[in-house]
Amino acid sequence: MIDVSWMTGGKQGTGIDSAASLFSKVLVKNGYNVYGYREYFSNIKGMHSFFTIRASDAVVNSQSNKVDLAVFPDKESVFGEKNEHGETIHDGHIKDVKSSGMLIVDKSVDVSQIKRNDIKVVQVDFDQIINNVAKKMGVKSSDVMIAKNTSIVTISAYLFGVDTEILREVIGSEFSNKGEAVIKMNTNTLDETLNYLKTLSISSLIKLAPVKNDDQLLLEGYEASAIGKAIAGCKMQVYYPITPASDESVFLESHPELGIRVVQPESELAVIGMALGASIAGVRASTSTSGPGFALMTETISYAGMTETPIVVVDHQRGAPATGLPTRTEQADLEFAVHQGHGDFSRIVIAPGDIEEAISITAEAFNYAETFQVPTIVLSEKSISQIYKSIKKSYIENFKDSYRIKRGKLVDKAGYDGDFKRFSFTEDGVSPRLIPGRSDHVMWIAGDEHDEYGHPYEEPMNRIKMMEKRNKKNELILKSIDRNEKFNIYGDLDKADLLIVSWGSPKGAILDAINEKIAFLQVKIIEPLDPEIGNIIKRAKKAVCIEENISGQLRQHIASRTGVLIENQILKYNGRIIDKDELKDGLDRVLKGEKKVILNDY
Amino acid sequence: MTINLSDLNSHEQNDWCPQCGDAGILLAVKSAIIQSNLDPKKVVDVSGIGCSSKLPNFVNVNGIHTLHGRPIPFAEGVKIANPELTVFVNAGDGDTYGIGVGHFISAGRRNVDIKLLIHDNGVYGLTKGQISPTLQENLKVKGWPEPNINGALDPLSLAIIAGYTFVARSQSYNVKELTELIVKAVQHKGLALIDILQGCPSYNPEFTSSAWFSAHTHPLPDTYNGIVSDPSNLEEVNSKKLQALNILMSENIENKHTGLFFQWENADTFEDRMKRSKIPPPIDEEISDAEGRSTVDLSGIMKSVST
Repeated sequence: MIDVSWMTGGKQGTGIDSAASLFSKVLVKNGYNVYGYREYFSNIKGMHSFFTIRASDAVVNSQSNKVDLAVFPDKESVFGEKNEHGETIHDGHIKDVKSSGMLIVDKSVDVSQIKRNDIKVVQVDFDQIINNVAKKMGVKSSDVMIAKNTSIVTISAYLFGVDTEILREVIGSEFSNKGEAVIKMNTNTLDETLNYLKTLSISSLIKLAPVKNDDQLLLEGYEASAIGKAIAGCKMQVYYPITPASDESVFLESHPELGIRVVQPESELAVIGMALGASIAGVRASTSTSGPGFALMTETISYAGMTETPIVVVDHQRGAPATGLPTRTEQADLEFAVHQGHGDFSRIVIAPGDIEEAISITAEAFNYAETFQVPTIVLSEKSISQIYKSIKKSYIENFKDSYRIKRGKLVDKAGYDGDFKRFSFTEDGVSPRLIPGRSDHVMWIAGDEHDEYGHPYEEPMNRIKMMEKRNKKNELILKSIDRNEKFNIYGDLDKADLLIVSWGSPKGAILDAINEKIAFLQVKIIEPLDPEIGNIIKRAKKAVCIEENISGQLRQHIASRTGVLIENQILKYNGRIIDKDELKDGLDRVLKGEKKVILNDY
Repeated sequence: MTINLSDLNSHEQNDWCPQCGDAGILLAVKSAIIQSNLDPKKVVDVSGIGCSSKLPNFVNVNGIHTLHGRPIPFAEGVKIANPELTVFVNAGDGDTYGIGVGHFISAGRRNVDIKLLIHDNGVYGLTKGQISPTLQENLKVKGWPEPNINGALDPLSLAIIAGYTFVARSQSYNVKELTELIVKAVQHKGLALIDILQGCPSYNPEFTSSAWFSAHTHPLPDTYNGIVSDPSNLEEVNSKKLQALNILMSENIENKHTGLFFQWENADTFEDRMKRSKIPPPIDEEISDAEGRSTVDLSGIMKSVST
């Protein structure tokens, strides 16, 4: 099996993203599976960002902690940086190169300071390559500087033994809307870089021979949740800009053929109100946000619970509390999502663990919201919505074919005399709903406690019945939803020495780290929580809960809902994603008896 | 189909105080719906929280009683989702000019075709008489132990600056004038504000009684014309705005005008802007076939994510 990792880095705003995106596409076009992840500061220009890609002929779900090849155009990526107080901003990436791996640095770097005898360090004169391209094209070097990224990708493709003609094709399609001159600049850079490499007499690290694999496409996580919304028939997306959630809305807006109205009002308070207004008007409506914006929506989520209005909110979690770490990952909104809003009401909180599930779970969320008439929160994460991953094209097509839009009790007629009872008492607690202006009736809705007609009503017997109607939906939800939508089990529960319990993005590293002696329970529907989860944990020889937060929120939630407290924990809370190697190490430590393992490497 | 006032009564009885100005507003709303020949099933009345916001429960149209401060975004959401609906907002001065003032101002940027009927009585009635954003500084009202130490904002000037295309004032005890203004607001294409000076006999009898309004409010002079005659003439638009601001700035609590201060017909509404995007109104889009299969066209997306 081929399993290689790569890294580049540089100052934000210099196009490091486009280097990584180009190289990912080259690898996918060569038939490989890729997993890419970006680490960056909350900054537009100047701060250090870096990008890792792992490629394999097998499926890859996470990143490695070391790379085979690192290519850096700047000194800071190599040695790190300090701020004006002498504090470390980051400590560079020399340590991230695998033993016997290769580090490509700029000619200006003092290689004697690298001090690693176990790796090969090669200097490249990026400026000379750029100057040659500029001379050839008769333009200023500064106009060609952006093509340094293509130079990085050319070197990377060459050293990974990938046919650089694939890069030429990718340049053609990637820059097709930027005009011939841009394509020419990049292909010239490709050629100049190849010429330059000939002078260095280095051979490739590995040979990534082409693999026949036409059914692949490269998706970024936010595109996945957007596709899920599109398939579900979402026709109105309301949002307020926030990292890392806005990408999803911008992507929807850039595809008008989907027929989705994207509206950006003045605040998250307006966002959730507008989305609920649209939902009451009969449209599948949604929003995407991150922790701070989600917090601002709180009162209105409670209103959605009280008025039994379907709504889907995707929370792309990031480091919290407060503004926290806007561009880093964390799984710390679970308990907030479960309890958000004053008072008691049923809701659904559901978490995808990878890009494929970001499509399917986001789409299913709309069916849940309308079937049960409850607010439905999809807990995504920066480490899902901002990863690049190759997935099977047929996955999207197959999911779209198998998915059915279920709008629940949406009716045209009351079927009885008198005014429409929007909140009629029914056996399952869900009342028929109508589209205002498109039926024979009018209807009333109130956030005050109300009677069946939706008029404010404070009489105690009515209050009891309404509270029970809204809160007994939890049972209905658990009864109605299939087990495989609530959680996944990987491995053999009876044979495993260790049961991992987790949710969300750690799934990737877990799948890449487990063996036949370890089973994995991935919780998808977090609220209401299936009591069966408690039984599974109780039966395990040993269980560990893995989460990217400091307090072990899923563990606490499972304990509060089932009375079962998972004995062991693996936690990470430095804002960085768990990689498969550190996770393997963590699992070994738990198997040897450590009860609480903190993984704070990055 | 002809309907009369009693057809517009819901089965709920109002519980407002005797002489509450809201009763006049309720009558005007119902009268205007009839005079405008609206189909009640295609009317949505969105409200906030407070005495004002109980109003939709007493009218036989769709009613959405929302949260304090949030009726404007809810109403915009309804209207954007389904532009064929006539959407009113009935909310208070605290709702609109206090906790929801950001929405009030921002609505002007969008010009969504909704009609704000704001019950402006200078106090928070349902919480027993605290001062609201429109009560003038130094006034002492019955419900509050001390004179007001906050300044008042003028909702009409603010609306004109913010981009509202229909700005009017009336008062709750002049049902005839208020009805006429609501009918005009319904006919107007675009965002409309009618600030309704409303009697609160329980907590602000000093400055909102019928007698006070009779003495201290009077219609805009006959010579005043706030309607832009050539909607494409931006110079005229600006001069009409300045005319309105001038007269508003000349007012004080003992001298206020009622009537239509400013109207700019056929200004670009949010619906117009959305139509240009070629995306149909959300409610008109089929989302599934008879078997529930999604009918969305993913070809553009598949193309953009393929390598």
